[in-house]
Amino acid sequence: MNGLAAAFAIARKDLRTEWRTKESLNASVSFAIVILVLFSFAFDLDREERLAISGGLLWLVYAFAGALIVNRSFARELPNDCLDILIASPAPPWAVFIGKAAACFFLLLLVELISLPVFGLFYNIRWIGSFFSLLLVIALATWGITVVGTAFSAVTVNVRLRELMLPVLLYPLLIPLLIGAMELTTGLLNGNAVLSDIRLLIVFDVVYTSLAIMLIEFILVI
Amino acid sequence: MSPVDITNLHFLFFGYSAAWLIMIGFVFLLVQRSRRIDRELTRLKSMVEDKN
Amino acid sequence: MREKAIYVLGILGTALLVLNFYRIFLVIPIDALQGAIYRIIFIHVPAAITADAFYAVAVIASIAFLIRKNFAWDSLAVSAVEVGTMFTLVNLATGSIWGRVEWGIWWAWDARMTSQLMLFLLYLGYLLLRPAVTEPTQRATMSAILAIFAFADIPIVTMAIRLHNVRTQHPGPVLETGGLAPVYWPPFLTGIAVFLLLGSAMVLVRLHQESSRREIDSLRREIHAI
Repeated sequence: MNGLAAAFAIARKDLRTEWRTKESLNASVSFAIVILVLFSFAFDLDREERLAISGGLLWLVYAFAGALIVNRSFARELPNDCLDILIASPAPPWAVFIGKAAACFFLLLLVELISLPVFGLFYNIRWIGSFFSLLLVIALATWGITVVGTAFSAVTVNVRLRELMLPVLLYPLLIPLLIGAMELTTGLLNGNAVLSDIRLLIVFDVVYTSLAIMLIEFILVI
Repeated sequence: MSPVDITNLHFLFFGYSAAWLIMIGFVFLLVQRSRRIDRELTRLKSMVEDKN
Repeated sequence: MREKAIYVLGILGTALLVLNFYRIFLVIPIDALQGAIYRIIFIHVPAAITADAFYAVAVIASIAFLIRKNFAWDSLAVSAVEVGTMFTLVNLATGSIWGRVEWGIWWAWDARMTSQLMLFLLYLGYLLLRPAVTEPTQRATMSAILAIFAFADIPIVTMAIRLHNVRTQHPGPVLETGGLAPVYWPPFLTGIAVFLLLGSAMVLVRLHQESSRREIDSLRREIHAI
């Protein structure tokens, strides 16, 4: 079976399943908004301070939402032995992985794009001016989160305390990616971004996408 | 010796103590685990012999 | 054979340790600028180097396990990660104390200490994952994958923290080991050797424990079968 077609089919299946129930989406968007509101109560900040923490706060929210979404990715295949069927199917392992990662990517991107205006509203931060550069940064970092997150979702699918283990394992690995995203976002929102930092995101994405594809056979045999 | 030097020496002592305490603590954990494993092993071995 | 190796490594390591103490405290002169606390470098940096060496061993063992499926490699990986994490903890503790003397604060988020903290968290996750998986093959495979992912992160973490620190003006690394005066090199190198020897002895002990554990597992299965 053609790998790319298989990946596409799997991505479409995941997205369609999610779109019908919208459980993950609703949960993640609500969670993101609640955290944004919570943080605005936690600190009393003037305009400069808000601009200074903007990138950090936004990516914290995105990282938490991301963990929720990737956790569901392989977990939803557990009932009715769907996971075994996926593995036994003629689709190559890398296609299963890329399909699922792509689905998570679009879902997380959707959550992030919905949260962005809410963030701008609550914190009085203008983001429309730098929207396209911001979109590039968001897309690159989101791919990094979903590729590593989906890989760990596969690894932890049968582990005790999965909901706890996945974030514990995922976040330390994502820290460099998040640092890059945070710095770039704060820079873009403040008007003094150093775009060459985008190298960090690209390196992370390339390294981990290749690693995940290379190792996925071992992960999915588990 | 000046007070700064004395403080320095104190911290040097803390530093070396912390490092060696961590290492000795680890060795202690290893020894404890070894004992636990050996006990379990002898217990299981005698159980197998009993059954045979 | 293994017991003998453990003893030899342990005794050699301890002997070098004593020799090194003598050199550190009684032979070399005190650093004029930083005072006595500078001597902590002979633990702080060798611990980091040793930890890195063991992490490298772990990633090689992990790759070997994925290819060969031999559990001996898995045992080597977990032993190396445990010992490496312990040395990272030593590095963090001594670095914190140094920072307290140097800058007056116990933690300064400087580039090198923050990288070491990240490493600690990464491999702590590895050590937390293992007990959560009961099936041995699954546990070994997952640990191997995690170890490979973690090791790949090390250069990226360094890149990211350098970026972050440039923006936020945190202090640069505490130690510039490149600028170590020649008189300091012998105890420094000996310090690395001491840690490598003692660390290897610990890894061998840990390996022995792992093979005993596997024996326990098979005995348990035998008892259930009878």
